[in-house]
Amino acid sequence: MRIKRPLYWISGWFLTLLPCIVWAQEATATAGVSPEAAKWGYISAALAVGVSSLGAGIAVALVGSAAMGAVSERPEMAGRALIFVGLAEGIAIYGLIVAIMILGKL
Amino acid sequence: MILAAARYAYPNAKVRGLRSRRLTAQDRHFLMEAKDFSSFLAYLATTPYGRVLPNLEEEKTDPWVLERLLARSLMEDYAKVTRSLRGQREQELVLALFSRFESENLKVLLRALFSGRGKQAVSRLLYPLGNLSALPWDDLWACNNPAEIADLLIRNPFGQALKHAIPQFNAQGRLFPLEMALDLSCFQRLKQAISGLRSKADRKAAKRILGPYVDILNILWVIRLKIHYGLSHEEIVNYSLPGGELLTLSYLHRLARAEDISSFLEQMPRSLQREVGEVREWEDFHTYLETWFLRLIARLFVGPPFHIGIEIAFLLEKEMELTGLITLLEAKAQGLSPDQTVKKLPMQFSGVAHV
Repeated sequence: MRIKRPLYWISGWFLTLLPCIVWAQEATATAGVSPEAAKWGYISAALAVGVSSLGAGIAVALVGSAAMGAVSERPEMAGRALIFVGLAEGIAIYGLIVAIMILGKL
Repeated sequence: MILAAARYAYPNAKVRGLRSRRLTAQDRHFLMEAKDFSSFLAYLATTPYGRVLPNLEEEKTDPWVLERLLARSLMEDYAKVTRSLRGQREQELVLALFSRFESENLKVLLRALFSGRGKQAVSRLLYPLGNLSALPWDDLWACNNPAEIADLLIRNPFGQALKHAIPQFNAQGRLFPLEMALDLSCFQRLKQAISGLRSKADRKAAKRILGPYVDILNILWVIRLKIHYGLSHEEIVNYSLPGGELLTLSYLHRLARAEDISSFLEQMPRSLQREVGEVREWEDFHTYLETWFLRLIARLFVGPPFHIGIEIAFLLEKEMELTGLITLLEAKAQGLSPDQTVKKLPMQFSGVAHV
């Protein structure tokens, strides 16, 4: 368990950052902006999506489990509980919007 | 914070869902004002407790049976709360609290044994513990004397406590030492379960709710042992429960020595004096202390949400509601008027103080 946990973290961060490294390499070859700016732009966009998705994941886990707890005793609360899960999910969408805005500037 | 939220998001939401099923002020009013026992039962069937009263028509003649049926609701909640908790140590705390009901059933078993009665004769006095109890009840009911029970439970704290109390039981020829040993073992287990909790916030929250609870029991026990049993102050202190918050050993000594109500009140800690200052009769202590405790519970529910205190507070609150409901049921079964009933009920029920 002690070995597994850091492994999960490292692989999680690797998968999050991998696309931005790849995009950044492509960008230096194609975009009209300076390669240094493009590199940081792509890294920022990837981080915006990756970190916000992680945050949304954690939020959905917490809100979702609380929602299940509440719904298991009060089934009529299912509709309202779903709204809160949706709000947590929205964090990932904010990250995606920020990433799109960054990419639009490159 | 995130780890605590991850651990308690599910159980706390579940507990709040369960808590939403408590009796409303309106329910309490109509139950109090019911003109007779049958109209009381008719209204009770419309409350969340109606769920555990399926054969109302057949059972309504015996209030004892109804009381145990109502207690099933609390036992179910214990099972739900235990299942919802993730950590073994957190579950142990709830199970330690639950062991008080196992102890009550063991006391009934010992009394039945002592008076030569079988299980059938006392079954209506037993709590419906369900699957949450891991004690071998069938084997226990087959035992012929307390020593056999102690041997059967030797790997359990109850067995060890009984084993230590058997010489006293043999010397005194009464069940009192065995019963006290069972109670003390429950609260010893509870104290150990609190100190075994991993998080400091959990330990603090558990002490915040269980400390005053133990204090209240100690005060009521001092009164009971002093007034009804006439024990010496050394014996009274000896039988006090561990794990209190405000009442230290010196306070207990002073309370046990107090001659009358006014000196008893003077010997109490300042914060408790404020709560029970208006008490004039020994019987009233219970009502005032219970009201104070319900206020503590209500305060806990509006504070930080992610700790074990929420689960414990809910279970104790529900237990107190059930006790009030059972008192009301007995009063209605005896045909007492609402005015006569009010005096026997906690303030939460009688409407003097809504928490």
